[in-house]
Amino acid sequence: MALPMLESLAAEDSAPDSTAKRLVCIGGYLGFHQKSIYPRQAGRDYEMSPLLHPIAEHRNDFTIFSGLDHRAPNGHGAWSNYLCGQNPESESLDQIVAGQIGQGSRFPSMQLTAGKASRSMSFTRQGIALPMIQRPSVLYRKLFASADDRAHTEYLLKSGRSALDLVLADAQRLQRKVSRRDADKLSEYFHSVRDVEKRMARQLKGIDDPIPQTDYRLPNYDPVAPNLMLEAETLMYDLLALALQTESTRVAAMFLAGLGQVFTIDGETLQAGYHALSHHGNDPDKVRDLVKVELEHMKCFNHFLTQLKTSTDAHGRPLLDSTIVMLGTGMGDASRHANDNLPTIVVGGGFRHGQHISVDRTQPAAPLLGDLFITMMQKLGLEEESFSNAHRNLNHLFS
Amino acid sequence: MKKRASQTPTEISITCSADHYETATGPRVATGRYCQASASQTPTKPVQPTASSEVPIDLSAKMKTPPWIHLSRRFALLPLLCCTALHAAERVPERSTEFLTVYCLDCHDAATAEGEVNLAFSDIAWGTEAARHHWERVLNVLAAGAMPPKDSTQPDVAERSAMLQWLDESLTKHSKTGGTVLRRLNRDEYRYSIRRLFGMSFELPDGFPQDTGDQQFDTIGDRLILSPPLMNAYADVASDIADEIFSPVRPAPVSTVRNVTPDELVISYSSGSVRENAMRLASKCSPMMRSCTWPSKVEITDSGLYRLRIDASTFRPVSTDPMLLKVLASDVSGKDSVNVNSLRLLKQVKVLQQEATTFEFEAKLYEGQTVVFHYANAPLNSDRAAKESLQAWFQSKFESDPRYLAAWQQLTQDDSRGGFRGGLGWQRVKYFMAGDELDISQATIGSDATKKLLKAIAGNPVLYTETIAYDSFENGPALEIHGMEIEGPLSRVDGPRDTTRKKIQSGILGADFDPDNEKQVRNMLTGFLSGAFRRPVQPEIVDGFQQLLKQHQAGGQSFEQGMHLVLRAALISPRFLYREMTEGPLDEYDLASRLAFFLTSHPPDEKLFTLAKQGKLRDVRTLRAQALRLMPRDQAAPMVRRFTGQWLDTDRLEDIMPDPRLKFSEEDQRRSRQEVKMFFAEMVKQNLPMTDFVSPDFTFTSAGIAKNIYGLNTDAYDPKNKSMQRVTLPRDGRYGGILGQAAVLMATANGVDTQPVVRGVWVLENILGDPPPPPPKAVPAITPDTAGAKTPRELLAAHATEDSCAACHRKIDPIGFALENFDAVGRWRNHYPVWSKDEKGRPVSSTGAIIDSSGQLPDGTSIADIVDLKRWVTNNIDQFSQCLAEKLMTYATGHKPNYVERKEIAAIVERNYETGNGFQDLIVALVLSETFRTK
Repeated sequence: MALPMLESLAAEDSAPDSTAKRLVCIGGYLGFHQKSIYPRQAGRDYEMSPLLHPIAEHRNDFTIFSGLDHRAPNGHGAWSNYLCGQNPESESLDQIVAGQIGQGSRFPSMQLTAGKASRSMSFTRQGIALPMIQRPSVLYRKLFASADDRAHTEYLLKSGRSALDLVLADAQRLQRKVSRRDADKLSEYFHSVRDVEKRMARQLKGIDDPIPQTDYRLPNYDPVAPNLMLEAETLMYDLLALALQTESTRVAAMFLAGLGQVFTIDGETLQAGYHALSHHGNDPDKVRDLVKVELEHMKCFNHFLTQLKTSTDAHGRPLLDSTIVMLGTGMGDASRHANDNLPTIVVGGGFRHGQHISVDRTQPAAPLLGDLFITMMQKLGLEEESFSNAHRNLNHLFS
Repeated sequence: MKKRASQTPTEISITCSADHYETATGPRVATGRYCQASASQTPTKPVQPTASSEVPIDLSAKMKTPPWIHLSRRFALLPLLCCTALHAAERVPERSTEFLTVYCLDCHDAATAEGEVNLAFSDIAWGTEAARHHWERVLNVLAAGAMPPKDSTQPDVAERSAMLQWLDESLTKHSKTGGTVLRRLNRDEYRYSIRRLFGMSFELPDGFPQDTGDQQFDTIGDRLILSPPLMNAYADVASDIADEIFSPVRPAPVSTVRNVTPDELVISYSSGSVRENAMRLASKCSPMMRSCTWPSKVEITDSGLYRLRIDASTFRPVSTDPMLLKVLASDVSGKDSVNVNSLRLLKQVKVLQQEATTFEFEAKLYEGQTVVFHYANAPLNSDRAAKESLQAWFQSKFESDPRYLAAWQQLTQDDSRGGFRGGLGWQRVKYFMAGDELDISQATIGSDATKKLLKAIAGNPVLYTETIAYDSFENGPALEIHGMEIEGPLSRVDGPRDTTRKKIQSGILGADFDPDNEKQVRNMLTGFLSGAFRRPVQPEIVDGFQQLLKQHQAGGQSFEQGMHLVLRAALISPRFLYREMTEGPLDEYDLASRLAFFLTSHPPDEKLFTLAKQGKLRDVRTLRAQALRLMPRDQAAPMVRRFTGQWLDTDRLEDIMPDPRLKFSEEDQRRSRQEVKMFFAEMVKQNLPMTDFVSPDFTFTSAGIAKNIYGLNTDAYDPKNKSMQRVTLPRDGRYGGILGQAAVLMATANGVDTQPVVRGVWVLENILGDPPPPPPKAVPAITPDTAGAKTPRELLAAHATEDSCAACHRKIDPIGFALENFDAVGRWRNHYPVWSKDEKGRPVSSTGAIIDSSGQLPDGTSIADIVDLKRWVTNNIDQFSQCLAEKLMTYATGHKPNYVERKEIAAIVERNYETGNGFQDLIVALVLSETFRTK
């Protein structure tokens, strides 16, 4: 699918520098079959593994890591460690980055899911799990609001301000009546209401901003039916590419769900649901079908990478060169519910790629996934020296 | 003054590292780590635990209450003095200074401050919480005889009493009943408030902020922070609710025709298969996702009347009866596991022809729905209830062809790879049938192998149906759907959302409402706002909202849009979001709220509101009657779920995934939580004595848990009955009561192994109300010896040898060891397991070190095991009652009871003990207390 031509809205950027400008984190709920994704050899001269084949054309633009994890507990419940590090529900990588580089764009960050999300992936500093957009139509309207939508939003914002004024006046009356301790407590209310006001003002100001136009059209249904997940995934990637290209956002996270759906791939209906396949117990038939599903994920991913490579930023460089895209997971081996050794692929962002970096996690000083995150954050211009339980970086292996 | 203030201790600790209590999933319980003393490398001979019988104040097992309660009995309650200069320091009287100098300052002077406890003060700033906390701990250790240490000079009884009396008087004088800070509604209270206010079903949206904080209960004012993200969420939810009730007008829909082809129908599990351009359905069962198909790309956007045209036929029917096709409606965003019988039936059609026939009819479809197809009389039925018919189906197939039977036998024998689910299994059956080496020697209906197979089929109908359905897809009988057309909407109809909307609107506006009648509008606003704010609203508040509405209409908006705005404003008002605003004794309305939120988690109902309006609620008899009326009656009461989950930590079970080797299913987890709730509800409802919390003669449990965990004789159980049943237990047994319930034992472990220290601390905190101070930071945690060479007791030996550890661990460890016989899911064990793998790689356990559950409690009581520990707790039941009463009071009032409040609770506990010790009586007495009735 060809992307419509779009004028980049980020013309105010000065000369290109070596820092990355955007971050995309993709998380696969059921992980990836390790034997099928990890190349057998480490280093630059590795042979493409079956799951890497679909992205082989980008060989020099990605690096695959094996042996990294957060030293976190096992189980589906611990999946959310993926972007949070050792402690789930601590501020996730994307939110840390969004706090620093996301503010200038219409959406400081975006959270998306392909399929019904069963876990949270992005967490604010306060530990709040951010909801993910599941319907492509909802994301589309957010990105490319129609005139009617904008008029309605404006109405809601303007009338909402009069509602805020009313309750604020009443809250002030109330504050004079309560004890000092309660008045202190109420200051939380005033502080928070002011934040709502600010958000509204920001949105109201944004109403008049030019909204990117696109000739991209969604199908006339939302692919929410379980077996349309791969279709949803394709659409979400397309819209995400558009969002990045139009500078609507610089930071995004996308969850790839995994439920009991029976996929039909290339006209062939699989023999069991996706989740059941992931519990393959090394049964070769189940592994074969599981890998078929995972190959579809990789094909979608490849298409997304190609879109980022063929579209350009304000300086005429491929978008991918200044966008770090990470495909990873919080589940190392779904068949065992093990959350160690998390397959992780990093693409673009100006890194020198083309390697399989294999970490021997049995060594006491073995680097952690958090160390890679630190390297990524530094590439994005953040001055972070630690992430969760990681306090080093991978700059010596990967820069 | 400045110098003194800087000396005010902020923390007293005889501490141990936070690592001890750390957990994988929550802050309070440990992972696989044991506590070890920092300087434990040199083994020393064990120190004898202090025998408390040597201390002047008797703490023998006969006493039922914690030490400080005795003080309240010994010293009559002194009248509360008003404390004007809150933070002014008060001089320590000479007699007390002398006591401190003689008995304490050797170790606890400012310079030495052993255990970080400094007692060298000439003035005490009683007005500060830190000072009260500090000196109350001094009072406790003095009363308990824990200090001065036994090898130091001891005060005589009179000296000690005088010191205790001074501390008690000072603390009483400077503690004031009350102390609840303005409380925001927590998630549950907010949710229930919306439901009650509008009479609508309502769930918080995903991503709605959690109530964070480290306090045990989510009702505590200090913990209920209002942050900008939460306020934004409140504003968004308010807007969503307003959309539901006063929704924007939508343009009239345009009628269209939608075509659905067979490959656009959902396949989930083995619900269908597309063959020769038709969707074939072969089986049925209750969950929609396993037995139905539905268009994946149709979602109705406008409720209305639609015309459906469905092309269907039979495929190789086995009888002349028609195949029944049920056409149903379901919500696209709903759960796919919904029961077919709960879906709305649009039409049932009889399909008789092997050629495609068009069935045309009109049906109402609502916003957000799609059409579902179900083969209602499919011969294959995977519901457990229909297993005999499934066996009969298999048997008839087997009878017709021995090779077919033999192939199924081989499939199930060859199941080591577990891959025979669905079409994959059917492929293998066909492969075996075609093979030359098929063993047909057992392929008779009467053979043992066949009997075994039929039994297996009955044991797992879903698995076998999923496989044999593929036989039917290929060879019939199956019901075929060739396509469908949906035309419409032909006309608009009210969907369930429209109906609900109109109902809620009339609830707010009242009957015969005229939006142009200003008086009616004002009455309506007054009524709505007082409901939302849980008290009558002053005219100036109504004025504000009326202005808002008026101005909005003046700006050209409709009345409905004005109400949309009123709702958005009311739901972010502090008067809705916060409760308990007036200082001192609660007024009628705040009392109504406190009572209602405590016992029902809901805002006050009409009855309470009316009583408050009449000024009657503060009357003791009325309040008692209302408490009894609102008392939780069963496990479904939100208070039961909320309080037990937070008090006993069973909320943690959601995050614990038990080690599969322990064989504790998700179903078991659910049931074990249910047990806690049903047990608690029974305690309330039957007003059972407090001792029944520890040694009851009953519990509620499922047949599975009774057999596999509790090792009960389950002859009386109907194994088919999966629900919870009340069972009788011996009073002095291992199981029963909160110290023997699977959910509690699981919540205090980590799903894999147990840590005696964690459980010990937990019991002290939540059962005995005597939590140890936090552990020192310098002590490293060590990992358990998974090889089983050392028992936890051996690993914890340092606790007895290191004085700095022993101070706390002589209280903690004996309790933890007594619970060691319960594994991480509460199953009894006499030995630690040693895990290995058998030749097939499956985990097997063998008997490891024997568990030594004996110990000595700090008061000198020797216990052999959990039964003795439970006996000790029932002998000292007031200590437990006090603990639980304080937890209930904290939950209800939103702050931890202070010194005077705990004294009031102690008096209540004591009185309750003397009058039957019923749990419901205790709750009522707490509600009637001054503490409960004060902000």
